[in-house]
Amino acid sequence: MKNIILARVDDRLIHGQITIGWLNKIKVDTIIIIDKELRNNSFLSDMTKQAAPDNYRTEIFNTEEFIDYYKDSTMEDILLLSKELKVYENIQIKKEIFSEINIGNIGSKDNSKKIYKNVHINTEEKKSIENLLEKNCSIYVQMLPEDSRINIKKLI
Amino acid sequence: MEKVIIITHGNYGEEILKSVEMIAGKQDNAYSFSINEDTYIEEVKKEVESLIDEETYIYIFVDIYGGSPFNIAINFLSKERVNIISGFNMPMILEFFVNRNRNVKTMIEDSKKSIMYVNKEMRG
Repeated sequence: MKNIILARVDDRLIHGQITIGWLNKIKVDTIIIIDKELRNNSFLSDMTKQAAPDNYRTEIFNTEEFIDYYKDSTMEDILLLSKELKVYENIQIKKEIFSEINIGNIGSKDNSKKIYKNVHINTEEKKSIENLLEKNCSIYVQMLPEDSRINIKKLI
Repeated sequence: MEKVIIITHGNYGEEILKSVEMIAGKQDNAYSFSINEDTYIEEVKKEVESLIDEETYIYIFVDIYGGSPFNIAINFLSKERVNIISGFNMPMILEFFVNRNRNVKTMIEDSKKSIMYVNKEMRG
């Protein structure tokens, strides 16, 4: 059985906040990145795996591969990372896997609105949030384990 | 031609460059990028990319292995003239600018020597 300890939206994927912040607070076996672009770039995915902290298995999947992997019956605690809310939305529509999602960093881009210091969302992302909420998944903003959780409903 | 690019968490890199320039004087072709909480990584990636060309030797210094600055740098690792150094310190950057050492291996070895337990060194 796969047990998702933390499912996080973070456009920086594996970085200091994850390796030094979260991984010192939560216990997982595997770090899974769901990112199509990274998945299709073998050089960068090798680099990412190499740079990932030791003592964890690291996998880089596209959405379909993750859903297949999730079906596998091996016991495993997972830290899940994706740059995009859309990825979680697409999975949740197919199968209600997530009960909650953590938003860490979403950088600003064209047409996005700052809703919290390090979180910027556009209308498409707002739609993803609404769809996820409707699909029984709560969403909160929390950069580091020490920070308090802020319910997304208070920010949008 | 060569360029130095320093990328760090917070303003550490920008400030270290200023500190080095206090000692070594103003440096041309030295660039620093600060990754703050609200920095959009893709934007920095684009800016770094715009500094890289085929003819120039590039030395990218990042603060910690595996952090966001590091993640930006490794995008350019496949380019022949790009060198990436993680865990840099100020003596290393000084060595680069003052003694113009361009041998990355010795630059790293020498900078390690700059880290010492002074009590032990001085008291014997």
